[in-house]
Amino acid sequence: MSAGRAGWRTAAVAVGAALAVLGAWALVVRAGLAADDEPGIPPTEVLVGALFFGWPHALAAATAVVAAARTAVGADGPARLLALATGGRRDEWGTAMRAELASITVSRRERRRFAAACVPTALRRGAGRSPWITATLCGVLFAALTLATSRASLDGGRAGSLWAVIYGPPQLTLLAVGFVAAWTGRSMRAGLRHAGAALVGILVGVLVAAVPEGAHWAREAGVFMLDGDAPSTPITAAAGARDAFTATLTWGLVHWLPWPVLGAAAGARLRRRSAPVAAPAG
Amino acid sequence: MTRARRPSPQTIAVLDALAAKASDWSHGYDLCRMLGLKAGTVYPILMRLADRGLVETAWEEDPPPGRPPRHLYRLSAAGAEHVRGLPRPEAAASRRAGRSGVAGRLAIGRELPGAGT
Repeated sequence: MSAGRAGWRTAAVAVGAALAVLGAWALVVRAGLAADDEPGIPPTEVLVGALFFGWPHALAAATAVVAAARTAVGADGPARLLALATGGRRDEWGTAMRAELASITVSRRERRRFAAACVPTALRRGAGRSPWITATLCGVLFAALTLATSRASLDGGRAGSLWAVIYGPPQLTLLAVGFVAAWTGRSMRAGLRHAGAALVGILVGVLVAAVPEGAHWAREAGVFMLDGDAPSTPITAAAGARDAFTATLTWGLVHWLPWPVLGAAAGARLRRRSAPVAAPAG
Repeated sequence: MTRARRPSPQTIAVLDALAAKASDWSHGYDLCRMLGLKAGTVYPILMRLADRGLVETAWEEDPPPGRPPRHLYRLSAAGAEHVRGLPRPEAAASRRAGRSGVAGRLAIGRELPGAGT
């Protein structure tokens, strides 16, 4: 396949992935509006809602498709798989495994076996402990932030504190971590490793603080920690904790997912532009 | 400082296979075939041994046209010394062979004509 045709095919798949993600968001928004008992759901409202909430996911899906197509270059499936796993890196061991695969001509099955066996090694190679340090730092930071804002809001207007913690700060943090790690590591993979670890850390940190705080809000103020909403009937501590847990997953995690990809892609792209990697000898 | 710990049977098999070829270079895929081990086992071992300075690596100098140069491995002087220092009483060696089959495959691999080329 020519480079131009492959480029068009990649672009088509990327657009398709973005549209599929927006379609999924449209279904979610429609289901949300239907649950509000609004008679007749205007399609424009569904479209605007899907674009408003889903644009980062659509952009991340398209970015991931383009990055995968850019990396997974090879003569056949096993070669493309190994190129994707090694991240197309110029490091010694990634190149060694790809070169070894190129020398295997016994059978396609043997090539598949070799490539599949190399994938876990290629993915683990070079990870080190630093992503876990990132995860721990982010976890501690967001646990402290969740706890501090919760107590400050309880002592103040009691308007709820969780929303302000889970919608905005994590996205910015993940974007920044992904960008900086991809920039310094000179690859999107490095950005994804650190931002993925940061996402896990943030999730654990927020949950560890928010679930007991949600119960505390229910006992102390009789409202939900997310937004200070007072239900028509009194809430139990368990319901308060459950609401904090569910809100962190739905309004938090679901909306955080695209940002590691976007940050890592932006960092790697800008780094490539500013300092192109020299072609290897041989 | 490197932790001194007992090497796995697979690591010993890789070391023995490299020691059997003395100063000749080996390829990763040929080591996998000779030892009956998967690439996902052999490559991490080679990486660790290279990081510890027990294995030397190099790139093939004149690869055939259209194929990238392969990565080559052989024991370093420190690696050869390390292999000589490995505790391996005969009885333990036969027990290992019976349990994992790695040493047995290694013995067969050594006898294969052209193995490791």
